[in-house]
Order: sequence, then structure tokens, then C-alpha cells
Amino acid sequence: MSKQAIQWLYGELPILVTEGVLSADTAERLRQRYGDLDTQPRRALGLLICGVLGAILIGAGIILLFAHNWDQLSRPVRTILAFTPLLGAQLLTGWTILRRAHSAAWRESVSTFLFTAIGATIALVGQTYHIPGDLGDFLLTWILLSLPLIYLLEASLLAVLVWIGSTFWLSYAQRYGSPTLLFWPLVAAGVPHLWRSWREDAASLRTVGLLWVLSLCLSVAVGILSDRFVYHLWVIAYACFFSLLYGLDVYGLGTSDSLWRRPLGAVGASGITLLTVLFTYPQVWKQIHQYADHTDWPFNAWTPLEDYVVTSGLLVLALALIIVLMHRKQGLQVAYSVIAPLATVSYAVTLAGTSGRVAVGLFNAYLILLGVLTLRAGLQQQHLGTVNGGLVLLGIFIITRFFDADWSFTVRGIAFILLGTVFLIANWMFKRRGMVA
Amino acid sequence: MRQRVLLSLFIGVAIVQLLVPGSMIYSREMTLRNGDQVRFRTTPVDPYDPFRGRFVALDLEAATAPIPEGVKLRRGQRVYAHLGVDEAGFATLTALSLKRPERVSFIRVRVRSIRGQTAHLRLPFDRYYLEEPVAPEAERAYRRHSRRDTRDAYITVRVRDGQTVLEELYIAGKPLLEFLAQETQPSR
Repeated sequence: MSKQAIQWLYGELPILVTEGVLSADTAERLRQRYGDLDTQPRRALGLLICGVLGAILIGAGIILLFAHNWDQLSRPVRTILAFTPLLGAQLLTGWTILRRAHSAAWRESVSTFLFTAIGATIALVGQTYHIPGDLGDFLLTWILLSLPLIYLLEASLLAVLVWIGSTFWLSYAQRYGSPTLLFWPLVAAGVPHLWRSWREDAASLRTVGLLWVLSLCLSVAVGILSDRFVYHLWVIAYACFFSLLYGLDVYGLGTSDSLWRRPLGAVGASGITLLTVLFTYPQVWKQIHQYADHTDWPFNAWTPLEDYVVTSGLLVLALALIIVLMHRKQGLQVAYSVIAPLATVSYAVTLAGTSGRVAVGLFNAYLILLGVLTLRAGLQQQHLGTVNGGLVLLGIFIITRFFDADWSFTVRGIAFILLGTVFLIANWMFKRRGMVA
Repeated sequence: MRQRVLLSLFIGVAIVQLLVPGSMIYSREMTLRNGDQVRFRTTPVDPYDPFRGRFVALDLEAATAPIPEGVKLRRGQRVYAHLGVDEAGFATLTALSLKRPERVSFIRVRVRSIRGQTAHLRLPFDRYYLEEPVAPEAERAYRRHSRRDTRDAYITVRVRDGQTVLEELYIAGKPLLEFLAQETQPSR
């Protein structure tokens, strides 16, 4: 049970006892069952945040001081200077492993400091010997040298830094034709750490934070890794990726009621909504049949293969998850996940030469369907957030289509009147069934 | 027990963390000491790197080479550029090859772009780092100077087994800092 739930329970217990719902004895047994509520975490969190911020600021300060590039310093002096923060941070890390291994604040701060010290050292060496400006190689060296610290110090912030760094590296690697396949092992290296944190407490700040960063980094990476060879392949890749994230959340990885604590669901659902709105515009589909001119691109021979593998892998996983969700009869969730096959079919149909009209029609219908289903689910569950979600989707549809010059005034007028009629009929039916809407 | 294991693993990692920058320094020191000196004509401009500070970006005149017959190059590909010397004693890139050349002096470069039968190359010395206030001043001084006289900026590079280290940036035949000291003195 999550800490919030226990806190809520402990708040309720005295009331339940006074109202006679529970006996004092049962209440005490419940307290024993769930143990003492730890009142320390806030203080520990404060310590951790201050420690980490201190480490980041000092480390960044050292990098900036080095970047000033003092003319007076000779090469040997610079060499000694380059190794001073690195050695200092390493000694501090060794001491932390021996004496403060139990303190998360120490482990996180010291590993962050060592991370910045590594960056400062290789930056100063690069500056001293005028090593060329390949930020990609610089980042890769930095990431590889810091990566083991995730496990030696159980440092979550380092996993976060490695993921963000790897995503930056990916964008450079892709621009200069370096082997981008390396991105996957770099990201995978932090996953066991996330897994362990998830097993320990799926709703903890640590797990939730790690999931947020990972899903956002992957959201960027999917775009970079799927759109290099075949033009607009991102249409399929992103639809499948967000469908997969959302599906995983629904499948059971999301354990909290609050969307903030369910990063996979939040990123997945926002991604699906954004894509759906985007796909209602014909511009996206117009260029799909044109292949990218890749003759002068810095890509290796297996780049197209990598693109295909990433995209089809995402498609297979997303479809498998949809089938599982269908077996569980989770209607609304299936409707959201269905964007994966829907985008794939639309892509194929457009490629076959329908100029995108079919795809645009499909996604307009899909946007209305999502709005209506969300609204209905919200009304059934009496959940205001979901009702609002449905209204927002329908609102987006109405506003974007009202101002959309791609459709003639007559078509838009008739469609709006028909839709309005449908809603009025629905209203009338609700009333007849005696539902409170 | 677990602490001991972690600590010894960490010591291993720490040694690698020291060895990587150490070897970067060692190989470049060796090149600076034992490499052959080559001069490249250049134009300096002043940009900025968030981690490594101010530098002058070098726009090298000799950064192109003819593509050999029957060879298809990609952008971003690594190739070997053979070094030659023109009448004035400055370096030129005479040929490209995909395999490491045996007898000629060479540098390893990347293809930046391809125009017809000429490859534009990214040479492994494209920036010269300077103290923060000096870099923009260097660019200005160079511009002032190049209006009056010929554009005579060049760099010296040490080359050893294909590895290169930028040694010094010269403007009007003087090392940059010396040139700047001379340029700024009369105006103060």
C-alpha cells in the first residue's frame, strides 16, 4: 500500500473508532499491520535536494571557471588542475561507499559531484589541446565514464543524467552519422536500477521521477530514430510508442490515482491526444508518398534497417498490448491504444495513393470518438477530471475544425449541425433514463 | 563485505576515469613533442562552447580534396587525407583514400559535404581555445588587420601517425597573443 493511502487510513481510524465502525482493538491491529508512518522522509528529501543542488552548482562552477581558460597557466599546471576536482570527487565517493553508504543524500550528491568533475576534466583536457568541437564524442566519453556510478552508489540522479545525456548524444550522433544503435544499450544500462526502485515502491518519488525522465527521453529518441530513411515514418513510430506507453500504464504499471504519479499514462495519453489532433490536418499526410532524399545523408548502410526495426518493433508490442487489453474488456483504454493500428492503416492507405483524405476523415472521427467515450466514462464513474478530459477533446475538435479552411463552409456547417443534433438526442436519452448528468 | 566489493569495484572505475583523460593527454603530448610540424592557412572567427569556453573557430583554406575515381563517399564518413605542401610552404590535401596510406604523411578527417568531384572535409583541428575576453578581441584584431594587409593567418599543427594536435595560431607571422599585445598597445 502506498504511503499516502496509509496516511489517509491513519487519519480515518480515530473517526471510525468514535463512530463505532471499528473497535479500538481492531484499529490498533490495523496500525500494527501497516507499521509506523515514517515521518522522516520530508527531512531526508530536503537534505537530498540541498545536497544535490550544492553538488551541481559547485561542479558547474568548476566547469565555468575552467572554461574561462586562463592564459597564464602552462600545460603541466593545467594537467594538475584538470585532475584535482576529479581526484577530490573520487576520494569523497570512496569515503561515502565506506562510511555513508546508507544515506541517499550522500550517495546522490557525491555521485552528481563526481559526474560534473568528470565533465570538467575532459573539458579542460579538450581545451588545453584544442581537441575539435565534436560535442557528441565529448558527451559519449562523459556518459560512459559515469555510467557505473548508477550501480556502485545506487544513484537515481545519475541514471537521470545518463538518460538525458544519451538523448543529447543521440541527436549529435544522428547528425554526424555516428552509430546511433549505441543509444539502446546506453538507455538500457539504467533500466535495472529503475526496475529495482519500482519493485521496492512503485509510487515513490524516486520511481515516478525515473519513469518521467525515461518516458520523455524515449519520446524524443523515437522521433530521431524513426524518421531518417522513409519520410514521415514517425507517424507510425510515435503512434505505436504512445499507444504502448499508455497501454503499459493501463496494464498495471500505473498504480496511483493521480496522473502526476503515472508518468507512462500521462505521457502516453498526452502524446495520443496531440497526435490525433495533428493527424486531422491533411498537411501531415500530403508528403507521405515522397521518399526522403538520403543520397547525401551521413547515414550508415544499416540506418534504414534500424529505422524499420524500431518502428515495427513498436508496432508489434503495441498490437500485442491492445489484444491483452481487449481480453480484459477495457473499452476506453482500448480506444486510446487503437491509435497504433489506426495510424499504420492510414499511412498504408495514403501510401497507396488516396492523397490523405481517408486518413484525415478517419482521425476526425477518431477524435470525436475519443471525446465521446472519455465523456461517457467520466459521467459513469462520476469523475470530474475524466469528464473535463472528454470536454477538452471535443472542444479541440470544434475549435480546430471551425477555423479549418481545408473543409468547405457547407461541409463544416452540415457536420456541426449533425453533431449538435446527436448531442441533443443523447441529452434527451440521458434524461429519459433518469441519469444525472 | 558488500562495502569492500563495492569499494574495490569503484577503485577500478575510478582508475578508468583517470586513465581516459590521462591517455588523451599522453597521446597529444607525444604528438606535440615528436610529430612533424605542418602549417595550414586559416580565417579565425569567435564562437562559444558551454563546457570548454571561448575559442576561435578556424575556417581552413585547405579543407577540400579531390575524390578519387570510382570511389563513392558518404557525408560523415571517415577517410585518410594525404598531406602535401604548396610553393609558399603551407599544407594542402593532395588526395583521399579509404585505407591507411603507407608512405605518405596523412591525417584522419571526416567528409563534411560533397560537391561534384570535390570533398569538403572536417579537419580534426577546427577550434583554438582562448581566454574568455581574448577570443572576441582576436577576431576583431584579425578583421582590422586583414583589411589593411593580406589575409595571413595560419596555424601550426603537429602530425604523428595520422593523429594531429593544434600547436599555435599565428597572425601576421606572430603567435596570436604576441600579435594581440602589439595590436592593442597603440590604441590604448
